[in-house]
Amino acid sequence: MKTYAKLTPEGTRDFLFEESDALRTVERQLADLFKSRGYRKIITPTVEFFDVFNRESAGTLPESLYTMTDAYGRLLVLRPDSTLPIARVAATRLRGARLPLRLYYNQNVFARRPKLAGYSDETTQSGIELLGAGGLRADLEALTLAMRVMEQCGAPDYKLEIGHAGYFQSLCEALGASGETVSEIYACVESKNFVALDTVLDALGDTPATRAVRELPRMFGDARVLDKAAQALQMQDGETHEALAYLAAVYERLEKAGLSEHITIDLSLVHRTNYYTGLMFRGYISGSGETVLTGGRYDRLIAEFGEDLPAVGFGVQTDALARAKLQRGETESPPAPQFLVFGEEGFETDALDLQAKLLAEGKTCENSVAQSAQEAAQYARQCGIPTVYIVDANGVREVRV
Amino acid sequence: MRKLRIALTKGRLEKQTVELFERMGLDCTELHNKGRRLILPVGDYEAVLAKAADVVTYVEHGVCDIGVVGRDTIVEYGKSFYEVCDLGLGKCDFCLAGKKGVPFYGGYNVKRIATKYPNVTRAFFQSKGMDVNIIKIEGSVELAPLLELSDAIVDIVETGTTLRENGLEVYEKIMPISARVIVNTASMKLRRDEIDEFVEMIGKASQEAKV
Repeated sequence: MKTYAKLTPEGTRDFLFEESDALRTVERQLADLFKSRGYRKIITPTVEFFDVFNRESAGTLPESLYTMTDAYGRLLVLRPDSTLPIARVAATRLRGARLPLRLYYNQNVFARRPKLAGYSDETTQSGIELLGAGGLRADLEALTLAMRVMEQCGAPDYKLEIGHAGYFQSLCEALGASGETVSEIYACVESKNFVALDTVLDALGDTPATRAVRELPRMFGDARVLDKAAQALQMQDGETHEALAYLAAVYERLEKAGLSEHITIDLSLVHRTNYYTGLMFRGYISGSGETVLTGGRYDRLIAEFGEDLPAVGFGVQTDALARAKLQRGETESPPAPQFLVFGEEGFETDALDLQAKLLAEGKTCENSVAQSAQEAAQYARQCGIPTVYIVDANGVREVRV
Repeated sequence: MRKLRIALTKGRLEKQTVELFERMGLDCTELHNKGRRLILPVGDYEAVLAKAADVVTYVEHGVCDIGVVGRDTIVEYGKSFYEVCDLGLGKCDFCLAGKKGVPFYGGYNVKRIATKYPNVTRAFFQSKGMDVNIIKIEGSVELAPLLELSDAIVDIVETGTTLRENGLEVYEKIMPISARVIVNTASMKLRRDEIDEFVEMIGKASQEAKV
């Protein structure tokens, strides 16, 4: 019979030694950053009901979900995202909790990615959600924390781009186009496809709104983009101007904090997960062709679960950060232990006691499972362990390797 | 920081792209004397020669920052990157074609379509709400209707000579195609100025070439 017992399914992998060490280091650093700022850890189930993610705002493609059924035939999924389960918890078990709620998570997410393209279906994400707080203060907390994350675990040359969901949404409303056309425009803007965008807009005639959308893919760069957009906007629509003014306010604060060199503004920032309602941001590092951090404000999502709470948060691809760490040569394989203990026959547990004593003194120590003291010494030589303690009837003997 | 890496589609598009590079004033000597090398210096850039489908893969993963590739490959493989410039090179169309004079849309039977582009074909017939049977062919797709393997083909058509010489005709144009400049998402953010400069230069060169 043909068996797959020696393989892992496509899109999954084992993490060994340096790889898992680098991942755990990143996760620990992030947990420290979050905990020290008052965020509490939340763990949600790996398996959730499909209904949690089956909503227009989630933007999850049905073909990307890992699905199964429970004993009653109800559809289950492996979680593709952590924000929606947290929104569910916030609206149910945490209903009426003291606000704001500061939560952080570190868990795996699952998505079927295109096969044979070098992607993982199971990835690790850490992130925070700041629930029950609206406005600039909360946004700045999340945004600067995201920058701290990129600085400490990403790379010194990271970039964070910021945009505003309201800008694109209100422009699209002003277009007065059908839903289908809007989603076409959405796709063109997201892929910065100027050519296709022009074709779609040509059909809508020449209005201030089409002119503004036409310029959209070019609207990224430093703060000057905001002035350029405001001038180009020959519209009186308050919402688009509000979005621009809000981004200007955010940028001004970041500039004051000396963080603006890492910030770019992208007014064409649109996201497939369209639960974002205000500020949106994404992080990039060299060595990773994909986005490593995604976040933003989602004030209407938790209401879909029955509790009207404003919220802001972000998620980081910890595996991508760990991979970049390894690429930069920041490998941290743990050094060989300082001691090896070996117990002669009848003194095995004495050796383990000695190990416990050494560990209590803060030393690192391994127990030898060799058959003889000679073999133990040979093992120590191979592993680079400098000192072996041999325990027998005469007590403890030290052997320098 | 490493040089900006540009993936070029091997073959005819490569020659046309090199002409644009020369128009941009880039030193292409190495590209002309490439031998069997696949990574070559071009001015301040590094050129990588690859098959069209691999160009989009390299750019998507960010191991190449920029790519020059036909729109046919982009729509067929549907990956995620920025498509920033139409070079107007290699103009042709995706077409539905079949035996001359045979009404394609007649009858009730499910049509068989032979193609090298199953995704484009599926999307096209999905938009028509038509259920079709797609057969993937690797070489000359025109053979399939001649051998009566399929009712029609979906393929790229430039002049239509091959179709005519084999008694086939275009039933319907699906979409126009030309070479595009694509850019990796992260590179676009991290090396914006260099990429802007390149895109602007090659855009200008392609405009001049058209005149």
